[in-house]
Amino acid sequence: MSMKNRRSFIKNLVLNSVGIACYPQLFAERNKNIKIKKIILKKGDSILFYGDSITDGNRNKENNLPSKPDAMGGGYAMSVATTLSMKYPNMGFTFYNRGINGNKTEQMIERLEKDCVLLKPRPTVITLLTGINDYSLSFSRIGKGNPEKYERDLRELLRQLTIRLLNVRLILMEPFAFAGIREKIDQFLPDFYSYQPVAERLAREFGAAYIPLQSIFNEAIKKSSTQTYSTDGVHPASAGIELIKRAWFDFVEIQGV
Amino acid sequence: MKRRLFLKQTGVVATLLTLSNMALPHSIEKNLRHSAEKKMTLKKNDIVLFTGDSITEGFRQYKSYRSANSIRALGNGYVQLAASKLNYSFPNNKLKIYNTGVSGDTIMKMLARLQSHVIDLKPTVVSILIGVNDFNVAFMKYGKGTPDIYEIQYTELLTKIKSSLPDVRFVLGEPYALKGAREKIDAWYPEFISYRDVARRIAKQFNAIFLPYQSIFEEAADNAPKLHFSTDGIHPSLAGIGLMAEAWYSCID
Repeated sequence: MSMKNRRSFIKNLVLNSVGIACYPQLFAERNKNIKIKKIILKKGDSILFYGDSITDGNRNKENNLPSKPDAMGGGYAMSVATTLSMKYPNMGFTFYNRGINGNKTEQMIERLEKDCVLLKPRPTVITLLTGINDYSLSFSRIGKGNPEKYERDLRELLRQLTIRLLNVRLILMEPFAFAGIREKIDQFLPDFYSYQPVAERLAREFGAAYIPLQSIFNEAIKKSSTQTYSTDGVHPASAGIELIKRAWFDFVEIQGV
Repeated sequence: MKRRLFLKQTGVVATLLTLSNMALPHSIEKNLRHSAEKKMTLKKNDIVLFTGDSITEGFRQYKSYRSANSIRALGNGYVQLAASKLNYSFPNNKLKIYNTGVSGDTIMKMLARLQSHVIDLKPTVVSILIGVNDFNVAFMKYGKGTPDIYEIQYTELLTKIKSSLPDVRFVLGEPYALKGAREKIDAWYPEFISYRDVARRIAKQFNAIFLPYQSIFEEAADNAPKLHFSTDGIHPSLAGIGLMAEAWYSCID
């Protein structure tokens, strides 16, 4: 990299904000009646990622300190946090990852006090991704999903978050799965898809931004292959992590840079 | 100051000239940067291997290092981030990406594990960031750096890789140490500059892409709160990880 290129590289980092909002547009075209909700990020925001293994990303759970690379894991939470922190060094963001592998929504309710409410600084923006383990448990018990229970649990989670953390801004990500990778997953598709409208409905109910990851993945898969984005049908592969990161940025606006 | 190095590329047996460890003034050092623009095109089925010390390791899971593109194996550092950008941007290249960085590594340690951690994985692109621990070991021992030894060992490392993998392409990161974080690191200057020079020289010699991390960090820090990109002067913070991954990615066509 030459001097000049380096300069423009650094300059680009500063000037390039979140890019073209292709996903919201795509989403809007298909859902003409739905207004796309974006979340505003403000100076000093404390940004929490909360969910299951996809959020967890093999983070070091012994390190509870905010904004530490090992504590952020290697998944989309880390990808979003590093990008935000690099591009907006003066926004004073704090980052927490409290994803736990294997978690179902009810477990996220149980640990909400410790893992959300009591964090310092108090979370002002929470990204949530949950549902696949709820489904999986229901499937192993009754051979199908229980979207009613998912709706009850997710509503309770969102309710408690909005009550306990006043004015918290929520980003709810659509739970997703990939067909054609593993028989075990194919077995429960498309029944699993019944969980997605639940999440979307609750996002609207609670004024959360909703990131329709399934359709975003489906669009991307058309241009390459499912294997690019997931090798096990449930967890995003590295390209999938990048895709989630980009989608996330399409649903936020940075204020006061 | 004209430096003349006579290196036998075959190994450490090279005749060691007694070089002064005096660092070049910063202004001259700046001019030494080769200014040629260099980019790399990734080919289909390229195998990209990142190796180095703790900065590269990024808390990866050691046992799964042979699983290409595995999230656990790629760690939580700049490699994971660069890998996800690469795999996302070139989905049809079917890249295999490995991380074999090991915390605390020096070139000598890397040489010892070269076969299993580099050669056996048959990479077509090898990205290396090494030197901070080499410097630290020398500095603790002698109170100064031994850049000539670093240069000989670095040359040996790349020569060995090249002899096993003749078509390999190299990306070499400049070892960096950021002032103002810790007294310990501040004391490395101006000695440490000579290590950065060595990496730059070796990159030229092996026709490698060179990533000038020191200046990338310094320039980024101009418009940011103190220690935003590294809290200890050596390891990147979240923002630093983002910066390194961007820098790496920017060298791809």
